[in-house]
Amino acid sequence: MTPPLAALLLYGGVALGHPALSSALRLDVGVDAVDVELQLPADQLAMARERRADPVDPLPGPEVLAPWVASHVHLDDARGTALVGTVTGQRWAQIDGASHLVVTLRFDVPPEADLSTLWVEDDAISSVVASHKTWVTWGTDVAMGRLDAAPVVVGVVSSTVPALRVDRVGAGPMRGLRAAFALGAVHIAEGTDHLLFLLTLLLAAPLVAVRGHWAPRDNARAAVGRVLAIVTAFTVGHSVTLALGAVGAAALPGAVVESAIALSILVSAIHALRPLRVGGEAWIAGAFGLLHGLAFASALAGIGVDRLSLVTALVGFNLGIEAAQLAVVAVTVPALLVLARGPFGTAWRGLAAGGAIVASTAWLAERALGVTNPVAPWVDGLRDHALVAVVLLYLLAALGSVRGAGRTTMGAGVEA
Amino acid sequence: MGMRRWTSMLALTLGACQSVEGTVNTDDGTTDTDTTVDTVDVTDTDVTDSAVFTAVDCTDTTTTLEAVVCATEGFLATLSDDERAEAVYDLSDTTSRTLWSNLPTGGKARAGLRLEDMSDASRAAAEQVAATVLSDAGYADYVGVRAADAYLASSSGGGGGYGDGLYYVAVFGTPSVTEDWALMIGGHHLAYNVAWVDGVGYPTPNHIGSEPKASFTLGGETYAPVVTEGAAFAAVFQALDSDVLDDAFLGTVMADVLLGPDEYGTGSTAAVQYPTGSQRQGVLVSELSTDDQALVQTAIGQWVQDFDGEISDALMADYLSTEALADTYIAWTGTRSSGPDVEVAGTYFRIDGPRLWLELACQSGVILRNETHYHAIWRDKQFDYGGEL
Repeated sequence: MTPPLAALLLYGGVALGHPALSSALRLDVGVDAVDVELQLPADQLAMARERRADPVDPLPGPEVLAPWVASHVHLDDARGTALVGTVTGQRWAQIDGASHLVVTLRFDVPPEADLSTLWVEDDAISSVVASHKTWVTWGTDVAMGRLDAAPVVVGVVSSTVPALRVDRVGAGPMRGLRAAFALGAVHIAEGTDHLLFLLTLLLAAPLVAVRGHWAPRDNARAAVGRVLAIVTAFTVGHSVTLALGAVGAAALPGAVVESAIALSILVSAIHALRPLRVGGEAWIAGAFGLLHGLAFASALAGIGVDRLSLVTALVGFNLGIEAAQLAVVAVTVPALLVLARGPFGTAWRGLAAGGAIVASTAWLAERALGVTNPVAPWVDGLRDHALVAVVLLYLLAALGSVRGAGRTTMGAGVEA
Repeated sequence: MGMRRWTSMLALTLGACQSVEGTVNTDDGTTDTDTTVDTVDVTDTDVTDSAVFTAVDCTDTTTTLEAVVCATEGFLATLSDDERAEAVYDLSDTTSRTLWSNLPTGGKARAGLRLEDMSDASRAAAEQVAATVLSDAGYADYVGVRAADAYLASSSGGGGGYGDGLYYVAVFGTPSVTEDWALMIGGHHLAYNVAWVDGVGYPTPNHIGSEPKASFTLGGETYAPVVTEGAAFAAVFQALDSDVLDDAFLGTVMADVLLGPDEYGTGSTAAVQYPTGSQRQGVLVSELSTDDQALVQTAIGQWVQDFDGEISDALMADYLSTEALADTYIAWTGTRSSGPDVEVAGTYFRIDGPRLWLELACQSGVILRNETHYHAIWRDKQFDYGGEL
C-alpha cells in the first residue's frame, strides 16, 4: 500500500506544513481490553520518522508504520504497569483535508490490572517534533457509565506533558448498569412510537374476538392475563433483536426499521378495530417486537469494547426499557380496562385506534416516503404532555363508570 | 483613521547603545537600583502615544489606564444594544476570555464584535482603544498585522477567509480604574489579552504573527509588522559564538511554537504546560556577554514594549532583573548547518525565564508558499489573564 498523493505532496514539498496539525488518540475502555485509535498527520509523522527511523523513506506503507507508532504509544494502569497492546489495523485517511495515518490498537487488561487510573503516553511524533500535540479523547466506557459513543476531550499529551491521566475512580459494573438502565428508560419515555404501538395493542386486551368482532371479556382476570401476555411477547421480541443487533448479528437499514415500526402501529390499530386474528395480539406484539428491538439496538451502536461491557450495557438498557414500559402499562391499563367495559367502550376504541392510524400513517409517509407533514412532529410532541393525557384518560374512564353504574346491566354480548 | 506610514519605521536600525540605570521592582516588592544593563535603543520600542485619536474625547485623563477606560467607555457608547451584547462579557466568562487563536477566524471563533461589522464611529473608537493601550510601535504592529491579512486576501490562493476587518474587540467586565476588567482584541495572527487587576495591566497571553513576514506594500502604504521583532530575536543568536550556539541548540523539531493557544475555549490555563526542571533547556542569559545580554533585552522589548509604558515598564524591569536573568534561558532549533536563519522553515527561537515565555517559530507560508512566516507567543508564567484563570 502506498501513501495517498496528499501525503507525498505534504511531505515532499513543504517540510513544515501549516497549520501544524495535531494527533488524535481515542480511548474506548472495556473490562478485558482498551481500544485505541490514533490519527497521526502524515507531514508531522514524516518529520519525526526522518530523524528517528528512516531519513530516506520516512513514510513507507501503513503496515510498516503501524508497529513503529505502536512502540511509542503506552497505556499504564494505576500502579504504573504497562498494558500490552497489539496493532489491530492501519490505513491512510484524509481527515480535515490532510493525510493521516490511522492506527488502531487493542491493549489487553489482565485481571490484576487496576484501571482506576489510566495513564496515556504517545511520543511517536512529539519525541522529535517538540511542538506536536496529541489530543486524547474518551469514547465509550461502560464501567464509567459512558455509553454515548461521542467522545469527550480528556486533555493533551505533548513533549511537556508526556503522560496524561485518565481518572476512572468509581468504575464498575453497577455504574454501567445504572447508566444503561437510565438510557433504556429515557429511550422508551422519549420513544412515542414504541409506546403507541404497545398501547394500541392493549386497546383490545380487555376484549374477546367473536365472529370477527370484539366483545367485552367477562373476566377481568383474563383481561389482565391478556395484558401480561402482550407485554411479555413484546419484551421477548425486542430483547432478542436488541441483543442480536448490539452484537452486530442482526441489522436492517434504519429507514426500514423506522418504517416498519410505523407499520406495526397501523397494524395494531386495525386489529383494535376488527380482530385480524383470534388471540393475535401476543403474536403481533412478539413479531413486531423483533423490529422494535432493532431500533433499540441502534441506541447501543458501537458500545462495549468487549463482551462483558456489552452484556452489562445490554442488560441494563433492557431492564430500563422494561421498567419504563411496565410503568406506562401500570398507569394506563386500569383506565383502559374500565373504558373498554364501559358504555363508551366501542366509541373510545374507535377514537383511539383512529388516532393511532392517523399517527402511524403520518410516520409512514415521513419515514418510508420522505413526505414531511405536520402530523408526525405533532404526535412526537405529545410525549411532553403525557401527564395531561393520563389525566384525561382517567376522567374519561370515571365518566364512563358513572354512566355505566346508572344502567341496570353492563352492555354484554356481541357488538353490532 | 490613524494608520501611520511605515516607511519611517523601516529606517530604524538596531545599534546605538546606551547605558541605562534602571529602578527595578523585584518580585518581593523591594526596590533594586543597582541593575545596570546596556540597552539597545530601538525607536520601535517608543512607549509614548504620540498619535492623536479623537474619536473619543479623553483629553482630561492623566494615566494610561484612565485613557483606556475612557476610550473603551466611548467605544461601548457608540454601540447599539445588540452590538454591545456581542462585545461585552462578564469578567467571569472564562470560556470567552480564552477564545483566541493564531488561526484565521473562519476556522476558530473569537470572542467579541468584529471590526467589519461595526459602524465607522465604533471602528474609529476601537482604533483609539487599541492605540491607547499599545505603544506607537505596538499600534503600528496591530495595523500591520491586519494589513498583512488584507494582503493575503488580495493574494492568489488567499481570498475570503482573510481581511483586515476580520478582527474582534471584546470587553470583559466594566472598564474601570479600580475594578478588575479585561480587553481582548484579535483575529488571524493576532491576540491581545490585557487584564487589569487592582489597576495593574497584564498584557498576556500575547500572540503576533504575520504572513508575509517581510515588509510589503498595500494600497500605497508600506507595512512591516514583524520585521523588527524577527530581526531582534535572530540577532540574539547570530551574535553567539559557535560553541554557545551549539549549547543553545535544542535539536528537536519545532513545527510551531510550543505553547500556542492551548487553552482555547477551556476557560483556564491548565492546558498551558511550561517545561520544568530538566525540560528547561538552552543557555542562561546571565552567562552571556554584556553585549549579548543587551541583544536579549532588545528582543524582549520588541514584544513587551508594544504596550504602553504604564504596562510595560514594570514587566521589563521584572523580566530583566539580575535574579530573572540568572534563570532565563535562550534556546533555538532548526537546521544547525544553516544557523539561526529566519528564512529557513523550522527555525525557532525561545526565551524562557522565571516569568517570561517568548517564542518565535518560522513556518512555511500558507498562501505565500515560497517564503517563511512568523508565529510568536509571549506568555507570563504567573500573570497570563492577570493571573486569574
